[in-house]
Amino acid sequence: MTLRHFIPPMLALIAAVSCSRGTSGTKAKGTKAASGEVVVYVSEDRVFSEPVLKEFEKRSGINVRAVYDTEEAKGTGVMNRLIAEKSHPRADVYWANEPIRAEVLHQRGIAEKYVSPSVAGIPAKFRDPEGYWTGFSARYRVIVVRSGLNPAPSSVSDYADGRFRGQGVIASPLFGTTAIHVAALFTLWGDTKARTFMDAVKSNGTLISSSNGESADFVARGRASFALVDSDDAVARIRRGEKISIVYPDQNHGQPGVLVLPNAVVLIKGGPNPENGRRLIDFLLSRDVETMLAKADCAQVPLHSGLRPPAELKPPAELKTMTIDYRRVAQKMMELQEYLKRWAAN
Amino acid sequence: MFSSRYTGFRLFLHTAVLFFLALAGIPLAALVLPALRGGSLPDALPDGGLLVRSVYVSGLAALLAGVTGTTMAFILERTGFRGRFAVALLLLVPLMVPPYVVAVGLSYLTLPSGPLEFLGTGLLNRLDHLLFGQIGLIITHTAVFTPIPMTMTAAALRAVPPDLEEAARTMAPWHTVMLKVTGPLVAPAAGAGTVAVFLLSLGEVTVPSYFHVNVLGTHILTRLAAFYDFEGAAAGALTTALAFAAILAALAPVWSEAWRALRPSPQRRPRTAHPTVPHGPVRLAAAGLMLFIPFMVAVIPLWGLISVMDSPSDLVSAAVHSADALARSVFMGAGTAMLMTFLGFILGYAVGRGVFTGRRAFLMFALLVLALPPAVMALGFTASWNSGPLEPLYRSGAVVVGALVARFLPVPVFMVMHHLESMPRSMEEAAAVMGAGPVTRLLRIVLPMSAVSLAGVWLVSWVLVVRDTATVMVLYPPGQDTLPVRIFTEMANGSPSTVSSMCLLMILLVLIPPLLVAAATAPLRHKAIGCVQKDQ
Repeated sequence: MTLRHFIPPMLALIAAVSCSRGTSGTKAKGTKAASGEVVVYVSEDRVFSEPVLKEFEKRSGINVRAVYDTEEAKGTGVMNRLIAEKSHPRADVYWANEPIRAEVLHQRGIAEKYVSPSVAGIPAKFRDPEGYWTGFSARYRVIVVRSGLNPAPSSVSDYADGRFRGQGVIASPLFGTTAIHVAALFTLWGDTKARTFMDAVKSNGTLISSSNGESADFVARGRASFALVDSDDAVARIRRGEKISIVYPDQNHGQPGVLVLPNAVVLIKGGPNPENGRRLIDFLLSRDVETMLAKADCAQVPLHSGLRPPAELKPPAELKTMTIDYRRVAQKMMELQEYLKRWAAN
Repeated sequence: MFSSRYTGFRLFLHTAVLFFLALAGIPLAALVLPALRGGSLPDALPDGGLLVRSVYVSGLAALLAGVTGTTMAFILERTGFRGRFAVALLLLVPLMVPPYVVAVGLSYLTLPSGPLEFLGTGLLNRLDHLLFGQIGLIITHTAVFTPIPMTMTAAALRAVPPDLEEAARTMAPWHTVMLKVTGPLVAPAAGAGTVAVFLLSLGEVTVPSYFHVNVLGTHILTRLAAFYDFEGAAAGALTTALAFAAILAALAPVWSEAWRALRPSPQRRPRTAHPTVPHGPVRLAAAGLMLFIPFMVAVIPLWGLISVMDSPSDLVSAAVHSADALARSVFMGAGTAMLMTFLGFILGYAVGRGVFTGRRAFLMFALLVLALPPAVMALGFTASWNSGPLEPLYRSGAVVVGALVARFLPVPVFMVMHHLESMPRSMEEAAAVMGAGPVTRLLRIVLPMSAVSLAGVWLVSWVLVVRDTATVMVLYPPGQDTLPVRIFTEMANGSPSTVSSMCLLMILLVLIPPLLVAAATAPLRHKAIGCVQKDQ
């Protein structure tokens, strides 16, 4: 047998696969007739967001074409794609996993105003006042503590407390929710107090990890006693049987409260399918989606009143939550670029 | 020097070259102009500590890959062990898949419920901590890039005239001949392979990102991922690429020597085999290494991937789950590889035969494009194609093909140029004397004589295109992801079993065409070996 004998079947194979359809979503089979498509760029993990988008396809009959993101440090992310495509957008909707990205898009003139009817029931503090983005399905920034630790930290400020020297770990503040939390503290405390705190965190022997997940693992495995992480990271470890517990920081009088970071949805200005984009946003902001995301492994906290959070977490109504101006936080994050780079490197 | 007197043919060749220069140059301009306008260049320069760390990590990976690859090359070419071809193919596996797949495989070994569970939680945690850092990066890059110095050294070993070694062995023991005769002849190729690994390791970003190591490549991506600073990232990418180009230019004598050492003999392939290492402790040690090195480099990462699968049916489930992405990878891979083979042949002929003047400048430009971080270059394509007359192509996904061709075309061009150096020009000149035009000579002489090499070009192009993640991730049309992109997006919180099944599918996808070719050409290889043995 020679190479010649393989050529016809190889050509046939190439021809066969070239005729295969090229969409990654299921073809909509809803009760309504298929009515076009919607393009969504998604920063929420694919394993959690894809089922939601498939449910939308089923209910609406609209074909969803999605671009999914990777972890912040791994790739350029869909944010940069949105920014690069600003002159001729390809996306209709952006599903962000935290509100600062949505605010950045607003500040760069990429977002379109849209106030969905589904926002009824979502507190105003979790959406842009002008309607450029709306929050839903949130995470808390919590402290996970090794079981049996006494005393346990109760405030973010305890990272600088000598009682907890060498016991804390925090994710690198260059990326993601830790960067947002640091920027939020800067807006609340002012630059001087915040920089003093950051210096004290370092000098107090705090470990720097690469991600919130890694921080949670450090505590679970005993390499650290406490860590500031996202609530979904904490819940995932608790469900795995790790010996850790959750502390909601800064709940006392005079303290800022726990930081709440909702997912956020943005209508993209100039997108090819604006009407379908609005329908998708209405769906994402619905109580059904919040219930789906609360029950999923991502353990998101519903913002609509009356919906139950995951069993391991308290509802927002029972907590003191941080009140921040997301616009100022987004601006502060950009200002802190070089400072955070130096802080993380040294 | 052979040259064509026909204006139309020369125009065609020049147009092909200019097409590539435009394809790669326009996105490059889209990067350079904002970077210069934004004044980000000073800020984009990496600090000294980052540079030292990057050079240290990549240097160590290159050294290990060079030593391992050179050792394996000698074992494969100078021992005559049975099963050498299978071992060589196994060693090629890590190179053929996205590097992060190898990283994932290694990291799965330290999962609490993984194959090393018997070591206990404490030791596993320590191993995990070691892996997620510089050590994991060095191990992965060594495993992935070892085949490069191995194949280059092996090719140089095959090019050494056997009678030279035979003659030397009448005067000195075999180890002296290896050290003082064969060694110096293949050293440039081994050195060039090691330098290639150094540069590839410096520019690779998925593995340092996965293992959370802050090096040059991740530094550039940080400006994009954390700060959406396109101008800064572009400036950083350009400074890195220019540094690469400077290193390559400084090492030009090494490349020239390596090119000469690797040049296949224009005469018929020698019909005598090279003398082999005689029986003894060294041959025994070589046999052990022939099993040990592939086990460490290829089998262990594969074991990590297979170990977290719940059952073999996971592979079928993964195939069903990602059937659309799999199909897209096959179609795009085959088509783009075909296009790259065609363009590589034309450009390789134009540059290699001296039809296109400015060969040196062309080669430097091609290397610069290859050295740029792919994600940043891809954004250059977005900036330049997402408007004006190219916008329909951008929306269609043709931009993905364009970006992959721009990035990887230098490889087929170099391969064709290398092959043409072994082709006697006298045949084309004789045909010219008989009145054959340049097109006839190209199609009726050069092309048939290059058929086997072009099959190799297609295979290499297939591997490069199908395994690409960084370029496709930035440019794929919504809903049209390929298998490597699908794996990358599912890694965040996806089940290890699903991710590892998809990684194994990825490996199979890349390997099937080379395996088919290897199976088809096995009778030819056996026949060649038989002829050589008969002569002996």
